[in-house]
Amino acid sequence: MPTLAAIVVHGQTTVTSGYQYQFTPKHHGADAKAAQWLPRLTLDDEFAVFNAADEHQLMDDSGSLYGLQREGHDGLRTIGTRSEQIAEFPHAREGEPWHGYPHYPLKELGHVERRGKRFPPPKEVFQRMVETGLISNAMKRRLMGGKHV
Amino acid sequence: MNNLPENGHALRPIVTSIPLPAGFEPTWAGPLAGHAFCIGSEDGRILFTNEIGKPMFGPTKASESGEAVNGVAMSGMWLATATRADVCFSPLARSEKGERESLVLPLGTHGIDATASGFFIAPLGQAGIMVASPPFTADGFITAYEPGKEGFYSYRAGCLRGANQTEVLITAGRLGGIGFTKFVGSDRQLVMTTATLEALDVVDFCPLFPGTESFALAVLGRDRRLLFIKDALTDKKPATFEFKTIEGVAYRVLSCRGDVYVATSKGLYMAANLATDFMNSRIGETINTQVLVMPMEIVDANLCGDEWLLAVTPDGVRRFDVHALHDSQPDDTQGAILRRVAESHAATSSKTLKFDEVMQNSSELALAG
Repeated sequence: MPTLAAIVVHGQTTVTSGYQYQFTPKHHGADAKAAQWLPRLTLDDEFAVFNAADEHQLMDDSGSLYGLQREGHDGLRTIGTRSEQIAEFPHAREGEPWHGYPHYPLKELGHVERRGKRFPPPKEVFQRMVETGLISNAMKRRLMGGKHV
Repeated sequence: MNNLPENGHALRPIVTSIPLPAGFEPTWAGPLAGHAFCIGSEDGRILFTNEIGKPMFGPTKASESGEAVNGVAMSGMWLATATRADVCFSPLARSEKGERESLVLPLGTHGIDATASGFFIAPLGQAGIMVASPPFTADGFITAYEPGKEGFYSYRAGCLRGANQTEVLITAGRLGGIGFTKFVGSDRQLVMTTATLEALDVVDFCPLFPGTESFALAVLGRDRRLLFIKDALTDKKPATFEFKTIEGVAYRVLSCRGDVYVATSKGLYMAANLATDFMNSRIGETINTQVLVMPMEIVDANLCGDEWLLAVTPDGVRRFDVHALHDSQPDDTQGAILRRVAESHAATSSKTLKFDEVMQNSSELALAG
């Protein structure tokens, strides 16, 4: 993935919901403090993660989507520069393009949580990943513990 | 897939299941003080059992966040429970008012360990390493050491204790390599030596001879490559091993009684006498190893002293008798489930191994009551 200087909107929309997706400079090299997509992931790869998240409805109760990509039979592809394996796509308002970034697996200092909202992704999203066959139950428990698979 | 026989040996069952209460979904299991086990659950609870799995205490909520437990450690009269969202420090004794209030560090870690000198140590990912010494108070602070170099991601941390009570802090730093530093506990700054091997994603390490004063250790890459080091402070030519028999995504490396265990997404593997043979080998010498294969899905695994290995599976917790595994014979294949494969490897060092020194400055983190 090249470093981006400006927002790029993908030419396709998601198959299930027809969502537009945009690639942001912030998560493509412009902000060293922000989560970064792994440079070897192409923009098409990134969109494929988003498309699959929409297809499988890996959504929390605030409408954010979570994506991942299988690697072999029992692993997940690393998608972020900090070894992240799950992507987070915050809910976008209707008609606006979505964006996303690799989800850091640990709660960090300064993480702001809305009252009653748990650290993402919630258990229900991991369970949905199991039900749709994207991960095994063993993988789910490792990911819920912030561990790699 | 988890169909290892419950009674693999007529006299010493190699593996038995630890019974768990209904609804208790284990994510971590390891040793508690003495001969007890601690098991953590998907919803932040812990359960103490004796060696045969009989509940002694709990299940009880141990994580404020209610997230999946990824590590539990004990130091003095304090218990620390780690999750991806917090670390909870709980006193084992009640206060004079009869209360037992936990203190919370609102930061996620990848696990937690306790040193022989009484510190809790936890890997904070890109934030570095947490070091904390009980007792804790509501207005207290905890020390965090920054990674010191870009790309060094603290994924597992622990200490080895050598002669004269010298301690060495070891950190698995993912693509940043493996880090070593002498550890005192009161230093404001650490000088860490890192060793990196091209594209080696370091996810775990273990002492080769736990319970001894040896600084020998095994380092595990996500791709199952192993790095063996005879002395963490002095050895600049570690040997690399890659066993064809070992498959899957590598999770844990453990060593006991001279045998090396690797837990992966495909199963548990025992490289018989590998630790002992490595220490007795010279550079370039061929080491012949029998690899015992135990296919199963694994969530996590830990040793409990030199008697038991606890493996968390999707079905529960399995207790392996490492004494019986160590003594099992090459022809004792126990049907088609356990098998042994012979492999030969030269104990050679990789030319792409690089050493570096980094400074790790500390900062203070506040606890919450």
